[in-house]
Amino acid sequence: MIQTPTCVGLVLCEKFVVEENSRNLTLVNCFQRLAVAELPWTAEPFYLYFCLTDGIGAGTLLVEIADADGLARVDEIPIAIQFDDPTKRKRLVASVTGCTFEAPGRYQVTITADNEFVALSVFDVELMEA
Amino acid sequence: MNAKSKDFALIFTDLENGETKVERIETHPDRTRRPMRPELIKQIEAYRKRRSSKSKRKK
Repeated sequence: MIQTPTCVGLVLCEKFVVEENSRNLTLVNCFQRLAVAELPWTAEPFYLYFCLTDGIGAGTLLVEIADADGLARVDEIPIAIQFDDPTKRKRLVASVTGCTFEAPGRYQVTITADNEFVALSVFDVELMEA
Repeated sequence: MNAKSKDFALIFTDLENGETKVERIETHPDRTRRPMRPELIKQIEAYRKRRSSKSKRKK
């Protein structure tokens, strides 16, 4: 990638809706906390929304989900992408399915473009009391 | 259906004529449990430091 993009917003949500004509996006049940009944826990599918701008060229985005200190990475999603115009925005939604969390605590979602850091967001996995 | 075939990313690109192109691409996640790359951990730490010094300046 000739120029690494900048991220405008990184949101985790349970569902999303794409309006057919305008292609506008509606994010449903955005969250920063996952309450789980037991551990390890394989989460229901969820989605990551993010918007990128200021990128030039082709490259690979890597979405990584890991615990807060980065010692236990639980998911890594590669996405091939091409930026033609740095003034334009690209909105992206990536699905996360079958992600297993083995311990409660803080987790981080990071996005890199050809190994260059782009964005970071955090969420918590909490064990529900019986 | 194989769970892997459901994994996807949608890329919404706004075109000159006001329309939005939507690409659906399959993704192939790697769920091998291992630490993140040390280089990325350093980049994240640098980002956190930048952000925390920025919020201190605002106060």
